[in-house]
Amino acid sequence: MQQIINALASGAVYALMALGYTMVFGVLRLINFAHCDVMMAGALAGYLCHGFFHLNAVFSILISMAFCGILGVLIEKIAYRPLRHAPSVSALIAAVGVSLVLQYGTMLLFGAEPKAYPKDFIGGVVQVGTGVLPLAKVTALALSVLMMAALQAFLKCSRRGRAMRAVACEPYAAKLCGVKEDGVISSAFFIGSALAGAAGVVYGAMYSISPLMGTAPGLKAFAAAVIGGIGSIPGAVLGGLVLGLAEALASEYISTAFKDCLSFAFLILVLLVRPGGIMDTGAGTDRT
Amino acid sequence: MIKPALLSVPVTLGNKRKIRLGNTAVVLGAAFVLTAAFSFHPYVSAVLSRMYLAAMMAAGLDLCAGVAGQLSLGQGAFMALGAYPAAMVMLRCPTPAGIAAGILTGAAAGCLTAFLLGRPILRLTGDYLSMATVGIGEMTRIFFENNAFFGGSGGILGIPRFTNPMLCYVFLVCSTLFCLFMVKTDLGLFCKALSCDQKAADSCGVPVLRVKTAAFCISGTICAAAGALYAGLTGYVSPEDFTFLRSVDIVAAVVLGGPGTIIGPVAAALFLEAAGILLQSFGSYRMILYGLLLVTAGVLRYRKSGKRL
Repeated sequence: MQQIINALASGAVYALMALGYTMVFGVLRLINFAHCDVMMAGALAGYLCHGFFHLNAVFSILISMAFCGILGVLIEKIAYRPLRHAPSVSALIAAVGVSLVLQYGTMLLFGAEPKAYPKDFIGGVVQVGTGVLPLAKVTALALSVLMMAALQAFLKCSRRGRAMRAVACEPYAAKLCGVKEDGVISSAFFIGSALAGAAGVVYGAMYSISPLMGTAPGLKAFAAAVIGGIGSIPGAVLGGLVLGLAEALASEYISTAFKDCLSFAFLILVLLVRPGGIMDTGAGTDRT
Repeated sequence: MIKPALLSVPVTLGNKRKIRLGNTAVVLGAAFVLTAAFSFHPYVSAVLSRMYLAAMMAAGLDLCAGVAGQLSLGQGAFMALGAYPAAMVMLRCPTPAGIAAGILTGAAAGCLTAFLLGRPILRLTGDYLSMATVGIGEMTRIFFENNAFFGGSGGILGIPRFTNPMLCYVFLVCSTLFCLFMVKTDLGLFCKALSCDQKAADSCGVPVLRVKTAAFCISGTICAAAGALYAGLTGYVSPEDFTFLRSVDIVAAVVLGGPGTIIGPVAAALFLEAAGILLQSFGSYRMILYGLLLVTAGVLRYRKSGKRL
């Protein structure tokens, strides 16, 4: 039971980041490779909030989310908007460029050694059934489910959310209906990056923070988004949880060292069998 | 059904099928001059070798990604698949024959893997293919990282350092001319057709999966050969050399150089690799500047292009 919750907790971090990947892909058909570094920035922001401004966990997460949201919007404005009508490979390259700037800029400003959140940040343990779990992991799980629910509500009920779904579905038609593309895309980036910020804080609380920490969970989260169905919000969360479980199972029954390898093998398997992922939205098939 | 002969070059189409050597000659000629001038300068020759190997991989990838439209973000995997077997062979027989055998082994390993992995994966299209290749890239790197037989995360040391700029230049010229030749054959024609519209090409009788696999294998083999040469450059291979970033470097060269024109990515790769190395004098700012370079180059090159909605 404890193993399962552990697996789900790491899956929840992937889920939070996968939500960001999926949202950006939905509206822009772009795989935002800088997303994982926004997560790292969020982790750092939370660390600073707690360390220097002595805010508690809740405020740190909120401020980190706001910071990352703004960072995401800025990145979109500077690097992706000029390339919106260009072949999407060029935006991919720009994304990698942004990623490098973020990683090494942080390294320059804050140094390369890993930092750890102090134990009292999201410390303590929670009794779950027969086992005892770190609060950080339970928070991760709770946050991602909460965020997914909130996001679904936003997309279904609010005006901006409906506009976002319209742009994801058919951008030209959405424009004809009066949807302002720029605002919608900025919103998507804001929300996605804010979620990455939350993911970063929680991941940092579970492990440690360093400038290059984002790459590994980032690629996994991307795999999670694809497994769950890129372009689908519940898919991102499902994919994250499924990947977390698959990783735990693989490390338990096959091999711990190769568990990352098996995660990607799982990704390729899913792509071969059902490229659209668990919640196939057909988002990735526009270009042949 | 008529089975098209992939390697035939029809003689009747005149100018369009001749290899136009204009830009190619300029770039390769300049490279030759540099090689001749700096072959014995220890630092510059290492830089030149790296540049040529990157350019070689860019040429190979351009055939697959630029001409055939199959964007592979996992070329680092093929580099590793070329470097590791080559290193194993070269460690055991550090003679010129052993080195040649090593390069051949590496290239063969790359070709075989590209074929085996390519067959299932190339049925995917568009973004899904890119995602799958990212998966392959990471899987391969992690595989070598965790495998004690291949040295684990420490890698393999003590490989004979046989790579010099002239050797790399020869490989570069061969790869570039080979890819240019391939573009002019029927294979190249089919690649262009399926990159434009896969369904239409399929309905015209283009053997889509075979063409994609051929292009993928060629780019994989070239990358693997480059990987084998990389092993000989520094004398060691480690999984850190074959990260996702490395794969993206090559893709950046293809994208910024002009996908589809083999020589464009070659020139771009030469430039990007040189820039990456020369920026080392900026110390900790190096990667930041490189990142800014990628963003700026992408924006400047593509700002005005693309479909108008």
